[in-house]
Amino acid sequence: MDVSQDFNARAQQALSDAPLQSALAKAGSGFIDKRRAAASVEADFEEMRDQAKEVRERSLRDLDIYIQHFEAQVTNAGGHVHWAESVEDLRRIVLEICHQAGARHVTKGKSMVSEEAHLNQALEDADITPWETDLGEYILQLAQEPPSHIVAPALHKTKGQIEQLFRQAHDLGERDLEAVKALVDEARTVIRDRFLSVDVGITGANLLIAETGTAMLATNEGNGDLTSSLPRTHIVTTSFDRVVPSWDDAAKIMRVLGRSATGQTVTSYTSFFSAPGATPNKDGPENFHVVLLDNRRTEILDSEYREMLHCIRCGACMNHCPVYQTVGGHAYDSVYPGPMGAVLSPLIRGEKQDYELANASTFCGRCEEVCPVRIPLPKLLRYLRNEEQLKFPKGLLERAPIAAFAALARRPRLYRWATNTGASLLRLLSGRRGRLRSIPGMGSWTRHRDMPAPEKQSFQTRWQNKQRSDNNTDDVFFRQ
Amino acid sequence: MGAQVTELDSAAEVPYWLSQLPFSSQRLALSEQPEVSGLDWSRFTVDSDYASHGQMGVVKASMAAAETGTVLMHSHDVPTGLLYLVDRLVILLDRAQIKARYEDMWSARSDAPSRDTPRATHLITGPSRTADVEQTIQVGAHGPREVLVVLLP
Amino acid sequence: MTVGLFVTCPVDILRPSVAESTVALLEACGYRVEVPAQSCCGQVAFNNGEPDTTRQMAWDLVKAFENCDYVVAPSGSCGGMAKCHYPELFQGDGRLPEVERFCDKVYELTSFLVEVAHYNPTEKVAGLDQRKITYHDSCAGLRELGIKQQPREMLARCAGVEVTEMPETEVCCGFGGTFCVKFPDVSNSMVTNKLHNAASVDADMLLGGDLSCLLNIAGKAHRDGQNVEVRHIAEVLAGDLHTPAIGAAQGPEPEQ
Repeated sequence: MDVSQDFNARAQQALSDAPLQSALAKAGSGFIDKRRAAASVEADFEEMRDQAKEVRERSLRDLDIYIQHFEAQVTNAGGHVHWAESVEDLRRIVLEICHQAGARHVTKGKSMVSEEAHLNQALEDADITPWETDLGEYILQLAQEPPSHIVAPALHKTKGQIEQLFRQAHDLGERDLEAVKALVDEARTVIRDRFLSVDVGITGANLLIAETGTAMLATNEGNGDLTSSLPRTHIVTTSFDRVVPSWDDAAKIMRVLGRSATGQTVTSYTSFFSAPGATPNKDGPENFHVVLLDNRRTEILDSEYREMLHCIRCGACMNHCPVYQTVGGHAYDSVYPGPMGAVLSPLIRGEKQDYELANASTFCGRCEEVCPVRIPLPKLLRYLRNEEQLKFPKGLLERAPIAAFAALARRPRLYRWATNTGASLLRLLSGRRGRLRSIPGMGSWTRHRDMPAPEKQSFQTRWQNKQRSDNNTDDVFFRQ
Repeated sequence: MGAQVTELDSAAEVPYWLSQLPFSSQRLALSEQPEVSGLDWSRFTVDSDYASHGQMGVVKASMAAAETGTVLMHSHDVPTGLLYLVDRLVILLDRAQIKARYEDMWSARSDAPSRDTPRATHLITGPSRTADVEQTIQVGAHGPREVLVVLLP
Repeated sequence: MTVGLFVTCPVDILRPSVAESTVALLEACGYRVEVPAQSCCGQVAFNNGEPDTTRQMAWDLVKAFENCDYVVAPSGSCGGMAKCHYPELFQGDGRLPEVERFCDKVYELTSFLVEVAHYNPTEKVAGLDQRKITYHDSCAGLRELGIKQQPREMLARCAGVEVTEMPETEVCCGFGGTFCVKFPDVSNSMVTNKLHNAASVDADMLLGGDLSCLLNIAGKAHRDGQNVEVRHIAEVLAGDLHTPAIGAAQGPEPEQ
């Protein structure tokens, strides 16, 4: 997809991409039905959401205390915490650790922050090969594409496309890859050896628990555990806003995360990783590094967008978003797509084209309805539209329609005259058909649909006339 | 949760029960926990190289949470590799160690003799799975294809 | 008690019969209806980065209705704008208390009929029992004002109609204010889905509480030749079935 295009161009590409539309259709209702089922089974799911929201609010309120405590705990147990203000810093820090470890290959569990920082490219440029182990990420690595969903990154791929990728990439001769099981088994075999052969494993983290300096990782595949625990060095790439104070707080997030994301009460594996500590462990890395990315999150924390940092990356918002379901994640041109991406991307990247994402929404509110921590996403998108107007002001011509309408609206007589005139004109153009197929200046509407024609005279004019007339019979209301 | 649950009257019965299962393999990896390694495994070949020959592994859970049928093990007791590199994982669990909720598991741990936080605490709820191919759930992604929980008194 | 009719721009300009039906319903409940000179709630300005302009328009609306006990709108989105979003515009403004008093008296039509007026007419609207009638839940009405059961309840009470629910009744129709003109192809895909869903239950009539949604849906239905009669719920509850449906011609369809 050519990312220099605007959203509309990418959307058009997406709409005419038949395999993508087929993949989106399969995914769309699945996630929605599963979440609904999981939520309806729990009598107190709403209570769980309130508790999760409270945890995130409290976490951010004293964030600096908790993150410092986190660092102290990690360090005391023999681990290392690194602060990366920018994505360049994150790349540099990870490369340094990999060089120290003498790593030529690294395994990777899914980490959105590593995508945000384009870490894989940096590793490759330094002659270190990253091996993605999450099946979705692995598929994307073969396809050389970015993720299109934060939980199911290869959502946009059909089974047929995955089969083709595997045939091209794996030199395994004749075999039947028709069934999903065959594809998954093949990936299991190919990736298994990699887990065992590397010196460094890089994962993300769903949460950071300040109480004990622990990173929580929720997966279904088990790849996160193999990536983190088999090599001598484990690097966690994440952002500082994932911190929560205690294990009890983490439990409250666990309760809404799986249910909101995939409809599971909990993922198959929820693991908690800390530095080695003094007491011997049966196995595991000697070196535990946590790299905390900022990338403007400190600014977000102090702004009206603070609530965006509550996000626990469940993906429910994009699963339920009718725009995302229509165009898929790549149309957003960001590692964070959908509603949460439409808010987060302009905040961390700040480019003019990112603000377009805030416009590509009908504010239907379904995202906020399903967000496990109740982030008011439509309101934040509206704030971004306000901000866009200040940072990248629209030209006079573009602002004119709303300004003109507002000026009219404030002058009732003029408003009535103008609306009556406009309505009469439209009615004239529609003849007796009751609708118009095209209207000058409204090509965007009439490209795909007719415009129903107005009735004679605006309501307010009719009402005023009726008040003045002597006849006050009821049948006036249904006169044509 | 996708895990099979069996009840036995005592840990001593475990090796025999396991040997009678239709899929049962000869090779077995055991955790070093005395409650596991101390059982009579003479019917099997104990092979600690689960990385190469990972067929079946037996571990003992520290505790479990009833709210989601989740068992807990940690790295002071069990190597992570054993939990994830075997095809079939057998988890022994004492009923008395089943707590109601996650928070109850955390407090049970802090009641225990003071130790460092283990490097890894694993909550396991079923076998490994993925839905990355057209949202079709497929078991046995990277971790075990099958998880069997044995409930003991 | 006096009810101020909040006409809303789409109704005022494009389909006054909806307002007339609304007045008829309110009067049937025994209220005196006033229509103070008014214009726009400011939603389009609000959603497009113009908070100052919105605030001016909002204050005009608040003042227009200051002598009414209730403010009733045949619209979930305009009603939602006035009821839910106005306080945000006046935070830190001395006018906030008066604005909040205004917000308290704002209602969408069907919720007013059910919750305040307890409207239950003895004389039912006739002629709808053979129709397959489906209902589109407009986003703002649903999520900002909790409008879901009320229109269905009123259809049952006024016309003995049980709604034939279509799939994804709560999914956006793709109008979204400026969205439909800024992102026409995405909007088109969404409204196409909406019509597919209506067709999948063989609906021959589609109702809703927001005229903007209905203009969008009807406009698309006519362009694609889908045979579904689109009306605002106010019209049906008031028994106005002879005003041509939205987008329909007067009398027989003329030659193409």
